Amino acid sequence: MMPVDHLLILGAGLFVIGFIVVTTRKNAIAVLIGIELMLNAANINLVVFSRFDPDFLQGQVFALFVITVAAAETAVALAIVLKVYRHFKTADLDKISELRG
Amino acid sequence: MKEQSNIVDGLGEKLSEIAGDLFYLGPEVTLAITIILVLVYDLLFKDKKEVGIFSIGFVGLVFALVISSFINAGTPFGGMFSLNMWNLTIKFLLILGGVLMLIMASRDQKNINRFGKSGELMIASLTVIMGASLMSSSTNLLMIYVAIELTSIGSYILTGIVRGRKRSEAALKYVLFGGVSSAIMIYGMSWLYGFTGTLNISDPTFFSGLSNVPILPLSIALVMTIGGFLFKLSAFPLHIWSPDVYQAAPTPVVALFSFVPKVAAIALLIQFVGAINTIDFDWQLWLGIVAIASMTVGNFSALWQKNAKRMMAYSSIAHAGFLLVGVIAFSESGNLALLFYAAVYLLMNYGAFLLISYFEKQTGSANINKLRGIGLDVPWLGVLVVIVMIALTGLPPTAGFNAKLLIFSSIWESWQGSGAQVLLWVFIIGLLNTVVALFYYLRIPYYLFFKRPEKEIDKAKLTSIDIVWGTIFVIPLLVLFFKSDWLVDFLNNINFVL
Repeated sequence: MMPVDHLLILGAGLFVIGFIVVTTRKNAIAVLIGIELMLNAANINLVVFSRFDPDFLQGQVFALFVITVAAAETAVALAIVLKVYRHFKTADLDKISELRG
Repeated sequence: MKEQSNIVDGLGEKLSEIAGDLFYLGPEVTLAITIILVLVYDLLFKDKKEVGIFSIGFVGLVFALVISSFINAGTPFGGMFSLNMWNLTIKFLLILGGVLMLIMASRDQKNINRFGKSGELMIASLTVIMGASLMSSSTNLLMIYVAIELTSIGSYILTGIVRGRKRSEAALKYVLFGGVSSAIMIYGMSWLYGFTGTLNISDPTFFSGLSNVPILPLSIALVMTIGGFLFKLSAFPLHIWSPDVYQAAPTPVVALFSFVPKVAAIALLIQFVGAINTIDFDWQLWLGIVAIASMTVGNFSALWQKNAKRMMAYSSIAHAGFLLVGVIAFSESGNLALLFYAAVYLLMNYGAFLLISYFEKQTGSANINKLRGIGLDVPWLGVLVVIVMIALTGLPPTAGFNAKLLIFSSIWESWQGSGAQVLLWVFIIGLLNTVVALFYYLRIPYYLFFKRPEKEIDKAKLTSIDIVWGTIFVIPLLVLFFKSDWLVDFLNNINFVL
């Protein structure tokens, strides 16, 4: 059995990497990948903590919900990226900035 | 074998329990059925769908509204939800917001076409209302997450689905920002689950579990979790998406965004801070800073806006700050003030957006510059605008004044009770902000009446029914100023169980 600390550090590492990807990458798809990394960090945490839960399964069920909802969210996000691409011919977030004020 | 039959028996019991609890979720179930009906109708018919889609949506919402006023307090689904008279009233207001949005959409041929072309716009708006209504009463971290995502995904679709370059840009910003903030929230929630071993925030073990955690990890987890709620509230650090979305999205949809998710997030915050109150983490300080920053940033950014809808976005950020004041007060009178504020906010915000949509219909854009001199053509509409803008500022003789008075007197009381410095600062800066708000709200009436039009443009005519609807949206603001005790008494009567 793996010690819990290692898994929690893995989760924290994934979260930080995801956050850095989100804040530094300029491509909309890359930002979506970063979001996915952050969500998976939370999933690892939830499954690990689920081991200490007296009701036992809540964390694992939560992780399943997160995976499902994230899939739905990504589907909507990709549809929007396609729509943006049709208008702007790019997915570069720096070039998609006509709304200002 | 025996164990297996026990499981089956337990399952039967659970199922009948769930079926019995389903009544508590009457409004949400009604909305879900309405969504399916719209979907089926949309598939069966080819063209001329406007009437059908609008009537199904309208009937469903009104039915949900009626049901929501018959539900009793309780904690259905094993503590997934906690319904009390306070958040049932909030639920009523949320669904009322949906009804008024449909009325607003039906006043403009462009919006009728958008809603009627296919069922998606209606389905997404009903989803937002359903998610918000779930959000306002959930006490389980899993349920909170699912409700917030339901609201968010519906909002992304509503922003992006209507054709347009600006709309797609706003939707992209919204979805990326929303995705990041929900990921941060879920990571914070996973730590809260680790600290306590339970997902139910009203459970005593949740509270006792949090009390044993060192302050640093506890603060990080709580700040991350509350951050997700603040995104739905569009309060200060997480407000950047809202001006773009408000400027680009269709006006009735913007009216929905400016009320429904915000008030639901406030209801959620009230539940959440109730669960974490009196542990080491000083949530009043944090939320106080957020409230002060939202009011100040919202009001000062609104001063330079040229687009009426973008200005209303910053105004709604400022109002998120004012709503937070009621949460920070954290008392019986604070909760009452919040209900009053939410009701008045519904009226004045929808009134403002309805009038903006009329001017949009006349001049073709929501640009404040285009409004020069229109007030002289339609003086009655101009008067209505003046009333709404005074109400949004919070001055008499409108109900906006009573709402601000109630909310600030509740925080004054809390300050006298606890003596926490931050409460006093929220009080003072909130009052000063009301003065700043006067400058930009009154700019629209100023352009309407005192500026000459640059050149004559042919304007679409407003029908008298438009004027009547405008009056219906605005007159309650005056009535509630003179007879505010009606609403206060009514709210007091339902507020006794908290």
